[in-house]
Amino acid sequence: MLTASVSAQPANTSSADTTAQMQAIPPAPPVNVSAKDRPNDNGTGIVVKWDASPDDGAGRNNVVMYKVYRSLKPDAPFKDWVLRGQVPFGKRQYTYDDVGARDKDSKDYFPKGVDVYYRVAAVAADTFSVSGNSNAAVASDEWYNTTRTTVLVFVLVFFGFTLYFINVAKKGKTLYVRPLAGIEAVDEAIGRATEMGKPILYILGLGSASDIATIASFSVLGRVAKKVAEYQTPILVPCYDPIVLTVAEETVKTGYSDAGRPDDYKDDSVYFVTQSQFAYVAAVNGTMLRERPATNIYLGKFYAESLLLAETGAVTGSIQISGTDEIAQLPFFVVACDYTLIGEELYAASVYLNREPILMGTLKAQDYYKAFVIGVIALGLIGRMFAPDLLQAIFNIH
Amino acid sequence: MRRQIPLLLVFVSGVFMVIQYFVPSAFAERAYEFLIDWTIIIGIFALALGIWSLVRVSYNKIRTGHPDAMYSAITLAGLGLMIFFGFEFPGVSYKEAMRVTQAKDYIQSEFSGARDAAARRVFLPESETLSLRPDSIKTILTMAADSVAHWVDIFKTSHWFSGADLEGTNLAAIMTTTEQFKSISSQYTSVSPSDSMALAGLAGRVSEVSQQGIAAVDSLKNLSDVYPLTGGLENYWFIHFFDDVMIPIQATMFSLLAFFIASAAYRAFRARSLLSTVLLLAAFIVMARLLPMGPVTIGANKLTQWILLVPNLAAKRAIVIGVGLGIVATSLKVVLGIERSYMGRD
Repeated sequence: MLTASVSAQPANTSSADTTAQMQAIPPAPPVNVSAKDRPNDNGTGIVVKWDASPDDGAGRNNVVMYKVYRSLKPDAPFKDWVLRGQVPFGKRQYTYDDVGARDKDSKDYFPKGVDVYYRVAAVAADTFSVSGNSNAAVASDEWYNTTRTTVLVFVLVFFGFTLYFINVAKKGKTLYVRPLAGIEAVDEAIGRATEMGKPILYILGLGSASDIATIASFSVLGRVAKKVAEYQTPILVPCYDPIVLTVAEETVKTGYSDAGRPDDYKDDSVYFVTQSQFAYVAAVNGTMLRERPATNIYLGKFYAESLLLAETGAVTGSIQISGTDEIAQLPFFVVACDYTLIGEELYAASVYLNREPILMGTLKAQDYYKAFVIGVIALGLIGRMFAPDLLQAIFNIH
Repeated sequence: MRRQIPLLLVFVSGVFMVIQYFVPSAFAERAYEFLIDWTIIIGIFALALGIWSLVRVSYNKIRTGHPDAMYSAITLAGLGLMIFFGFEFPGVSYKEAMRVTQAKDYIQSEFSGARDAAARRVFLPESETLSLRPDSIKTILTMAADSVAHWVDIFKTSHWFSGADLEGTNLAAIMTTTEQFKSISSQYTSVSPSDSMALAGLAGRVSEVSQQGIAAVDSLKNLSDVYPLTGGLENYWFIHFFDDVMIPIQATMFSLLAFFIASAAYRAFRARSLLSTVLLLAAFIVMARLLPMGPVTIGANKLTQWILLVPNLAAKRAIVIGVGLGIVATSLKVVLGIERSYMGRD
């Protein structure tokens, strides 16, 4: 281990530093520098540890920071070592995560699978001293992230609940689902539209086809399409996302086929508008004001346009049913719509409409899992009061 | 088979996505990025379907003489025009011409600024020229020369000028002006602040040289020389249609929200039941914290903090937990093939 200040310096240290260093007394260098692979990563990191310089908080007490250097060659001149980071003074033991980039084209590329060495410099106002080399360390990627074990356990428990209740439902046990007023109102709303001879406007929101809220909305759309086909009521589905458009077209067509009226399906009933948020609002609001639909159904992902749509719908006197998992938009829907599905009720809507045992099983599993989560929260509260360290260890809270 | 293959794809992709969340290795990361790239590619293809849908619906409305045919015609005209304007016609773009015009303006302002500063030093009474000493004029001229050199660099990297233009007389005249500025600035060093005659002579030189520079800048191509269709997405019409039509209309739509919030709030706060009365009171307290009413505001602020952090947050978290579980359950149903609505069938 080098305990004296070094005359050579890395490329990023100015020559003025060297001159000053010759006049000032350098601090004692850090000791026990060690390096090891950074756990739970993709092979782009090394954890460097060292003990404080004797002049950090004691002795000459002149250390202001530490600089961490890396090299692939342990015997390379110090000027060739690469500065990787800086750590402020003030502790007895230090840890620095040297994390680089995965791609070889990146300037910050981290060499993988080869030995790397570290040295740490204790820096004073006008001078510095450098430790000896750390042990050789190799960055390697891992195949399991241990910090996510808690998540895995909870996911597996949920899978267990789901499979159990699907099995129970398959055996024919009746599972109770509380009534959802918004979904029960769908039939009434379609009937109203039929009596008035007005169309139904179905908005799938601004989400993409991969959003769960949109997927849940497809299920309800299928049911609504079947009903409107039976009642021969027109339906309008203006879409924001082209992928959602293709799925919505298929869903509505299938609804008409299931109702035994495939020929009644009109190509122009499901259509793309635009992917610009407020242009979409303008188009849909225009449709509302011109067509005066009897019923507006908003189910899916909504953002700032929620109130613009729902208020216009309220002005036109339509029955309005809404549902979203965007918490910020829920109050707007609640005040402007007749019925609102709050959060998870949107996901439950398809189950409520289908009443298939397998789907009912998943819904029941959700309910029981919620009870389980409430239990875990209660245990967490107690644990926080009586055994905080244990709780931190279990949930990887830092 | 037509349904099994998509279901199998969904199952394999879904299980992979679950597994990769727990696998930090570079391989899992790359595979994840690869799959995400595919969603972008599919999205681009789907956009073509979307545009086709828009064109088809609009065309049908026009063809059948639908009462809304006028809106469809405007939509199709807008779509067609923007596509046309977006084509890459050869030539300099409007945006680039704007950049050059801005550079020209800056150069002219540097030249005229230096000229005026030199003139002020001569014609102002001695007591008012302290801030315009000969050495400060020297600094002004040197800085103007450096600044002009910087703006001229924009000309050199721009397609606005051809190689011949760059080597032509106008640009050379501008650069000569800066050299002369530097030459005159060195002469200011040897002039006494009280030597009015010498100062007037130098100011005259600065004025003469500046005028030559300004004339040279004026002779460069103008913004009006740009052909309005050149430059693809940076052409004159594309930029103006988007910036001056699309964006203001979007802003207008968004601003309507303020009025809608007011009307929705009026409906929500009508105290028709116990719950709506509680809502009204809570809203009143939250709004009262913004009123400049001293102790009342302080009290309302504390109460607002409590309302937001206790009952409001508790309700929000309940919804968030429910949504989270709902998402996991629905995802599981999709991966296992129980939920198939995304395929157009339950």
